[in-house]
Amino acid sequence: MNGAGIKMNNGTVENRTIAEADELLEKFGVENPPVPVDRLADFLGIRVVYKPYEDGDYVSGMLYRGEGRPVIGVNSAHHIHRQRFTIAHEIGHFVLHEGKMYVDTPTVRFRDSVSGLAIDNEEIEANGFAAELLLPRKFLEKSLEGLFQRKIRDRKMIVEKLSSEYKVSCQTVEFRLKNLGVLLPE
Amino acid sequence: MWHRIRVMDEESINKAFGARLGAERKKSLLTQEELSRRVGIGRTTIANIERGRQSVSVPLLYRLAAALGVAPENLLPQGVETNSSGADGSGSSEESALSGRQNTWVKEILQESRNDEK
Repeated sequence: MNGAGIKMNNGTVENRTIAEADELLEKFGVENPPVPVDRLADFLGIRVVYKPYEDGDYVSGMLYRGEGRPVIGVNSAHHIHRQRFTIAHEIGHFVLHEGKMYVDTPTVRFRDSVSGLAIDNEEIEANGFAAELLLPRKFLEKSLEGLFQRKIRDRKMIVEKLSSEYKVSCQTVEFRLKNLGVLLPE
Repeated sequence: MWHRIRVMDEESINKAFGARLGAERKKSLLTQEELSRRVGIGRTTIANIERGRQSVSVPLLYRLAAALGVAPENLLPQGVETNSSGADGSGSSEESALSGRQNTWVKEILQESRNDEK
């Protein structure tokens, strides 16, 4: 283990999810943050369409694969960090799951397939995939090491620095670090 | 790919409506009990509607919408049908719990990506 004593566990993410995300990063040759999720989608042959959806019972994103090129729809009214998470989440569905259509909303999850029971599990997996893709543990180890060496130990500052380095929300960073078992000084 | 509004059978409509109602109710942080009191019907009726076991009249739709502070059309489910010529040949059957606006958003995305391909 490294000098800063950063230890990471597997969090709640299944090994297959981690492996798929890491493999994609490797195949595309991503070595540094921020991970270019839009170009990764393109690399996978997926078209990304941006369309705002304001207020109310919003939608964060969707994935459709049927005839023609697969498409990811992103709610472009959301913050750019949120949009990146949405794209990563939909790539997760694309890589891990079989469904033809996914529409991700905060209250209802919708898909086109037979079993309703698998839905929650698929959403959890897609979120795990997105976290791994946007905040790969290998990159994080290096970033945290660097921050500790620069004597940056303030929890809030660490989260903010990682948020701007990886272009994800502070909330996503916090959640990810907690999941990896990286304990930040309070 | 082609998309059109699917005409759902009665059972699917009730189920999809129930799912929309339940989702909107939870978003308003109301219990079935609280909603039933606001609307002036029994709690079990709400429970039955949400489970898709009971259909609602148009006037009741308006009362439910008013109690939840949403537009009536927001409670109406619509299905995006993807005309599938896949192996099953049957076309996909979707249980939609999307609102009309969400459905429109989805269709516009699909439309746009189709246009790009031309």
